[in-house]
Amino acid sequence: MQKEAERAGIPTALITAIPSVAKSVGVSRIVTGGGIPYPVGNPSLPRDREIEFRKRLVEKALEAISTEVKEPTVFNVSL
Amino acid sequence: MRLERGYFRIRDLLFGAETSLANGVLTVNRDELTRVLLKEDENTQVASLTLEIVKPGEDARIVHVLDTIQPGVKVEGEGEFMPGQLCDPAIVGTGKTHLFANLAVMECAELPWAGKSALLYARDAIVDMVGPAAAYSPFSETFNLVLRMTMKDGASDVEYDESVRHAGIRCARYLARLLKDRAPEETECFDFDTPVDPTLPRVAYVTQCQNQGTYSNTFLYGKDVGNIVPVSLSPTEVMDGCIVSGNYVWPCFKIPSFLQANLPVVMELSRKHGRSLDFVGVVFDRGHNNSHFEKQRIANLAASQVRKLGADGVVISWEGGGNAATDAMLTLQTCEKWGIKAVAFTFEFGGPDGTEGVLLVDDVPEAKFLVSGGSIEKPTLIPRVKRVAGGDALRLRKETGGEPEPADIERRLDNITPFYCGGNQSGIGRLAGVGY
Repeated sequence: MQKEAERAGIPTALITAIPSVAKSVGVSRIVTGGGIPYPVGNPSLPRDREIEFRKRLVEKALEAISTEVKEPTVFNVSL
Repeated sequence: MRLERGYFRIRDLLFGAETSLANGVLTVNRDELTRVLLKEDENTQVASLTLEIVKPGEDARIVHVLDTIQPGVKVEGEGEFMPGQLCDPAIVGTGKTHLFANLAVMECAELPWAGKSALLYARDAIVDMVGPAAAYSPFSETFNLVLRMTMKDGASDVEYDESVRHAGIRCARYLARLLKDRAPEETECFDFDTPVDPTLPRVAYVTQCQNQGTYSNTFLYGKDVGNIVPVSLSPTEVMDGCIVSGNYVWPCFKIPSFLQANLPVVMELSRKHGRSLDFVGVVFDRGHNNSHFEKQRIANLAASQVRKLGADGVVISWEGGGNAATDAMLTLQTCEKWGIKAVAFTFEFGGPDGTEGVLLVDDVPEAKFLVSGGSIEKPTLIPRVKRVAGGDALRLRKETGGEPEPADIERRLDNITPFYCGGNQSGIGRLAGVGY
């Protein structure tokens, strides 16, 4: 899906728990998410921190799609 | 450590008045054994248990296969075979162990699978004794004592899991005691005490088990390995059954307890130890770590164990599918980064002819050499069989919650995931490769 969107000129970012897989299939912008059962969160965090973590993930994804990349690039956020 | 293994090969398996072993014929008193498994286990959640015999070459199919155990008994040395399972977690791997070479105890039951998706959807595990799928499982060649069980209502998954495993272990111990005071026909000695030629290449093995909660567990010395930090074990400890499987998801990838005690890489490296190489040890860890951070952490710690063992090279294999590939590939990558040559086993996708789409879930540039465990996307036609053991029905369609379907009929399966050990990455199997 991501590759097709990029081919149509729409920049994309993938939030994923396993950046190495995303890298090896050639995803352009990769945001390291929480975990396999919860890629866009982390239920082990206290509620407030989890909300903050989710916000950071989305903001990082927005930053990623505003960034020019030449090869698969991983973006990380702090927990 | 030094371990002598004595093997007993049976010619036949029968039910009879007295449990005995004579002239290679194992006779089992069905009523007595059933009593041992049901009445003597005060915690059991098994409602009914029927013992069935399935022999090599029989026109039969075994369904609902959970764990498969090799009956073995310690004759000399510390601990019991399968330490920590209904006994002390004494460190094993020394002295003498007697084993049935071609007898398998098979736990078969329909678990109360909870979901229609994710890990715990209803699924089945098949061993075909005849036909094209027989070669997928090493247990088409063993005499199988099948424990066909149904479960009581209202217990927890943990209790069902424990009951099933304990029945298998009790059964294996009941049979293995017959071997205690007998002289084996064949013995093998594995000596890791005598120093070997220091110029031999030093090789380690990393075996990464599946562990994602109940029904997808592995036990080390009697406890599940959810929080395990990679640990190094002697090859002889592994041969004495310190790793026991409680993993019932993805039958094709499963490494049953029988194989955990006979891991092909462990056996092969042990046989070559002191001759063509120096087998420095086994590193045991789990895959399916949840996040990238946890995967990298366990991979680094596993590689660190390999480095501490002083290995020049390492063989890596994992149990389970995609998620676990990443943990193993990161382990390989760290080893290579530190100058330790690494090779891994992997299953493949690739569609019916093996060439479609992405072949591997994950790989790293450092993975220059991989050994294929075969494609899991091969369609297979299984024949009508005369007899079905282990249960009555097959549960193959997760979309319907595993609605029961006839188990004895001819049927085409689109991929090999329901075949017990069919996509196994531990090194067993009869697959041949063609270079091109």
